[in-house]
Amino acid sequence: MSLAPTINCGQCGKALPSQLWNTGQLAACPHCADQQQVEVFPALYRKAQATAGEALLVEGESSCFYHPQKRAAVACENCGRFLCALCEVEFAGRRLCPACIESGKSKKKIKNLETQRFLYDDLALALTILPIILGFFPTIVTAPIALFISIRHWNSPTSVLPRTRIRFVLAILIALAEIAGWTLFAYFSFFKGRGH
Amino acid sequence: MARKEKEYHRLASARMTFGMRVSLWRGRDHLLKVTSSNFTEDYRRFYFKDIQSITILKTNNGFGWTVVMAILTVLCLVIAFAIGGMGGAIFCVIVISFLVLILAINVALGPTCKCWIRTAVKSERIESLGRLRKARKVLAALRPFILEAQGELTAEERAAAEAQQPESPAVSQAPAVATPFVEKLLVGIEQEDPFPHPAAQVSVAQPATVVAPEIAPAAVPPPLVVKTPCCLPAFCLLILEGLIAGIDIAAHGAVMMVVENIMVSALAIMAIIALARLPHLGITARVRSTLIATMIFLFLQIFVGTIAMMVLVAAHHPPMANDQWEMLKWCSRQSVLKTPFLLGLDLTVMVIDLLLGLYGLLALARFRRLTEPPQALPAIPPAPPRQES
Repeated sequence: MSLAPTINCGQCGKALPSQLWNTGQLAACPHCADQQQVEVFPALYRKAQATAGEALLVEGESSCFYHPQKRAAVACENCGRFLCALCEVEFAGRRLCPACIESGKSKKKIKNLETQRFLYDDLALALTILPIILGFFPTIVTAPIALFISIRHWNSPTSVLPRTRIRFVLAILIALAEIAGWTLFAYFSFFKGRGH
Repeated sequence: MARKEKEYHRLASARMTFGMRVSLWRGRDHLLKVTSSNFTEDYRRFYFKDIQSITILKTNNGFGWTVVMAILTVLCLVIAFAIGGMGGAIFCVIVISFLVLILAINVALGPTCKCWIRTAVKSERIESLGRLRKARKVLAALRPFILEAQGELTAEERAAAEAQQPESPAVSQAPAVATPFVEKLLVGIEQEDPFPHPAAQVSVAQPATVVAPEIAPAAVPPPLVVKTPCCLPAFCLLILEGLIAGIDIAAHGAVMMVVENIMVSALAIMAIIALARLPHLGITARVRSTLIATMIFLFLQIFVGTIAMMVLVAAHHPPMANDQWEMLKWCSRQSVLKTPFLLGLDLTVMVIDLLLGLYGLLALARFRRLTEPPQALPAIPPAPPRQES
């Protein structure tokens, strides 16, 4: 017996009748009367399919790298290992083996597997601007740090979204200006002061 | 040199939620939710082929902000009128401009909503889709991509979708007609049919003599029974209180003060009872928020009124400040038209009472319209037999 899929109301959590699905407009929930629009797609009725690899029939037939008793179905598009239907993972339009996916995730070689990125350009820019707002004195420390971060992480990956290096450029320029300001301040304070 | 194609296209700009910025982007084969906080970005990907449903729930948050901003703007206007001086007026104009700007932006953006994307493993809230208009626009933009990625339903899946229809004997007796829900599921809304339904094709290819079966009326969900006790008297009293405040400007006296105080007390009791007995449902949110606004306003009215009286008495007759009865008598003798502060206070009370009362009545009417039992759609008569060309 298969259970029919249900969609629950966003407000009261009770199942919404299917008459309210895909109406293209807001409809009131019969339980709480809250207005909502529900759009259902064919995936709601699709069941997950797990395929077991086929067993070897002929001696000398290509076998799976991970399951030697299973027949190879495809080759990994990254490392070239033969894979059975069970080991083959289709990801981002490529057929890969589990090991390549794992290494791609750990080494951040597969962009679509990344779940977090640190934004060094934002950090560098914040290190140059925030101390100015808080009082100029912290810039004596933060400006060189921002300059170092900008140069060190110039080629580090930033956001996966479209983004230029303008933040790095601004951070470098402002940090240089701050360092120049401190240098001039030191020059006039010590050397000129001593001369007088 | 050919321009490099963008990998991600922005669907919804960043929206602040609890110190985080959440935005929504469309990739080649997936939807990307980006949460930015503390120099890091977190990514959630929803592949088009995995998205089972998208739900948009209309909320009243935007409306609540509109009411709050409108009340604050009216209050500032009255304060500016009462102060009268140049400095205070300039300050009030600046504050009013700022409030009106926020109010205009809020109204222009339209009603608010919450949006969820459901996949086989989880249901995720999309915070960046906070406005109904934007959410529906994004949904319309995504629909073709999702339908293209998910392809056609198999016979088994189609049967499951058909079985989802409400149980109606007439529907089950007419299997040759493509049920509306499955048609919508396959083609989406206002889209060309990318996955033609076999049943629909069969019905076209049938001989001309076949009479189309009668389509059963849509199943009517049970009516929602929700009562709003004391709400109507509370809003009527509010309008009456506004009118009395208006009369008080012209004919201020001891009788009017007593009547006004009785009205305020009755109104407060009625609003408390209405709030306590009103069920906590989304549909009653508008009525509830109006009642809460009324309660807050009544409190402010009593508080500001008492302070105003004390300040006025202390300024004119300091020894009288200790005797409350004398204070009341002195206040009842004052002319409202000659005291700018009292005039401002009465005008504020009149405007806000009338606005809240009228809006409460409108919200109540809307609530009753939404909860009245829906009428069954009439059965569609059978179509005449087609002529063979």
